[in-house]
Amino acid sequence: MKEVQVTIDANGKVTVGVTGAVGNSCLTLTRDLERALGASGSEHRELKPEFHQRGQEGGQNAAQR
Amino acid sequence: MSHVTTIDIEVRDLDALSAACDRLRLRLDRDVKTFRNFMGRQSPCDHTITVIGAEETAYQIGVVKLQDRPGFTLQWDSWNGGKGLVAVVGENCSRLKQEYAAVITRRELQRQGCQVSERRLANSQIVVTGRRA
Repeated sequence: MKEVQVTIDANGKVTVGVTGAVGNSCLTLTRDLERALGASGSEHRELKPEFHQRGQEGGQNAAQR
Repeated sequence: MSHVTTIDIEVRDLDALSAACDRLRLRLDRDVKTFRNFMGRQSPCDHTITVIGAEETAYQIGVVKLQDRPGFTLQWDSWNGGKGLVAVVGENCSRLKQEYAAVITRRELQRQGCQVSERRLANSQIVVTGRRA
């Protein structure tokens, strides 16, 4: 089960967290949401250990960035 | 948690903005080209947001198309609390932006096939959760 949790604070700042998705599928899950919310280079993404450790694909993609 | 992204939102979708207005007892009037502010002055805009029930007293918000990219900026006069406007939309339109983000988030997660739930926390945060197999 993949879960996306979006927290919107009182100033309209949005934090998106994903669980249950590994590697690139994790980023795919939130990319459209980030676009819809208007992310235009102002976003900050922090990859958690799960991103790298469970998916070969994710590790490769992370390295490419 | 595999990744966390923090986003500064930008208003791009008028339907979502209208739905956000509904949540706060505001009304988006499309193609109304001026909004009322200080001393009854009318300033140019592309769409107008009005406080329902305070149409004659509270200042309005002007929704103005951005010139350099798709999207809109919100303009308003906060002098004297915008005569009741700020109490509804929050300082810097923060509550309106928050509701807009919640509307967009729900819609996008539903589009992706997620089962969506929403809750409001005591600290005024809105948490939207989407789950899918």
